[in-house]
Formats: sequence, structure tokens, C-alpha cells
Amino acid sequence: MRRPRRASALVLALLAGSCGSTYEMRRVALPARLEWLREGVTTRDLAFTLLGEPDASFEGGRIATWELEADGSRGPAREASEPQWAPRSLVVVFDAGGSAVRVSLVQTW
Amino acid sequence: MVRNAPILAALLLCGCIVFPDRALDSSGHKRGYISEQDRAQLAPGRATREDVLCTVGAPDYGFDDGRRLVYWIHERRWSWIFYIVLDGAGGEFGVDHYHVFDFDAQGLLVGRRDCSESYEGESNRSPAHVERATRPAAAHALPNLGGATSRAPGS
Repeated sequence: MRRPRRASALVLALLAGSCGSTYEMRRVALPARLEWLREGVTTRDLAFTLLGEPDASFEGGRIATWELEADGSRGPAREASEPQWAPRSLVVVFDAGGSAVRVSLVQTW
Repeated sequence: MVRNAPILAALLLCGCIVFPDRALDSSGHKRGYISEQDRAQLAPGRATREDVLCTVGAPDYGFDDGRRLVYWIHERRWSWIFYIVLDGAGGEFGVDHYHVFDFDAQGLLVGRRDCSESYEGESNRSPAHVERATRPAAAHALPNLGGATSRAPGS
């Protein structure tokens, strides 16, 4: 009679797990790979050189975003018709002189 | 009993199973899960586009030259499998949630909205569809919504 009980417990566990869980985006610290990226120090040219072209930009390029892997590396490019997929979103705000004035890394999943 | 065996066998080899499937969604499309603390910080009239982006990251979709940023949650709720002998088909039921930030020409946050629409089979994630789904007060005009709603945050 123990096997049916185990089976029932397994089914219940699967059902409980399938009820899902919520997730909230949160800001995280920069990984070691991105330690060179510092507010007030890093320039736009250096950021673009080391990260490549941003995945998106706003306000005439004042704000640039890159989609990154958890370790800070660039993943494969996504299709333009697809929503974002990467586990990290890097946002860098530049001032008029081209220096990074605000850096934020958000864990998206 | 022997006479009914082919019928019994056919019943065993054909069928449809529907099961809850939320935890199995590994699509990663969860950017719309924005904490209450962040929502409180991103208040219309005070926060800017820069604040929104630095707090919740890049959006899934951007429209109107960045004046509308959309964060999406793909929530699968149920899946189904229909099978016949060695062949079959499957699909899913779920809800697409969109958290929308609206900005004015100066980049000031002027409004936030939550939109959602249920789907059957496959979620429509094309930018054109999402653009229509997240227009202000446009949710009721969407085709095949089957449960679309649009509400202001906190309502």
C-alpha cells in the first residue's frame, strides 16, 4: 500500500508546484565582468566598444540598454519582432559630455 | 469482453488531457512583475523615463518613440494534449499581462496602466498586436480577446 501513497504524494507535489510562483524584477550588483563600468568615469565610447551596440536607446541615445546574460556577457541577438528574453537588463544614462552618470543592472528573471 | 477489446483499446489510445501548467513556463517573459515598492516609487508626475528604465530595466516593447513602454508577463495557466494512437496535438490557455508606462514629450511619466488578455492556443506576441492591445482605452476593440481588461494600477 505504500506505492499508491507515494504516487499520490508525487501527484500532489506536482500539482502544488504547477500552481506557479510570482517573480519580481530587482536591481542587482554588477558582475565582475562589468566592473569597468562606473558612474562618472566610463565614457560612451568605452561602453560601446566593450559592450557593442546597445539593444535599445532612448531620448536620442542619452539612455542605452543592453540585454545580458547573468555573468554580464552579451547573448545572441534576438529577433526584432520578439520581446526581450535576457536574464539581465543593463541601463546606462549618459550626460551631454558622454560620461555614464547612472548605471543600473536589473535581474529580469 | 473480447468483442469489446478493440473499443477499449481505441479508448486507451485516444484521448485529451488538460492539466495546470503554470510552473512549467520557462519562457522568461516576466518583466511585468514589478514590485509594489517599485510601483510606489514610479509615480506619475514625478518619475521620468530614466527612472523607469533604471528601476525595471528595458521594456519588452516600446512604442510612439519611447512614449509608451510595455512590460509583459506571459502567464500560461493550462495546457492540453490531444492524442490519437501515436500522433497528437497540444496547446495551452493563458493570459498575457502588460504593464504600460506612458510618458509625455519631456520624458515625464504621466500614467501607468495594466492591460491583460486571455489567449487560447498560442500567445500573439507580435509588436503590432501588442501595440494595439496597449493603446489607451483600446483593449475593448481588440479582436479575439475573450477576456481582455484594462485597468489603472491599484484599482
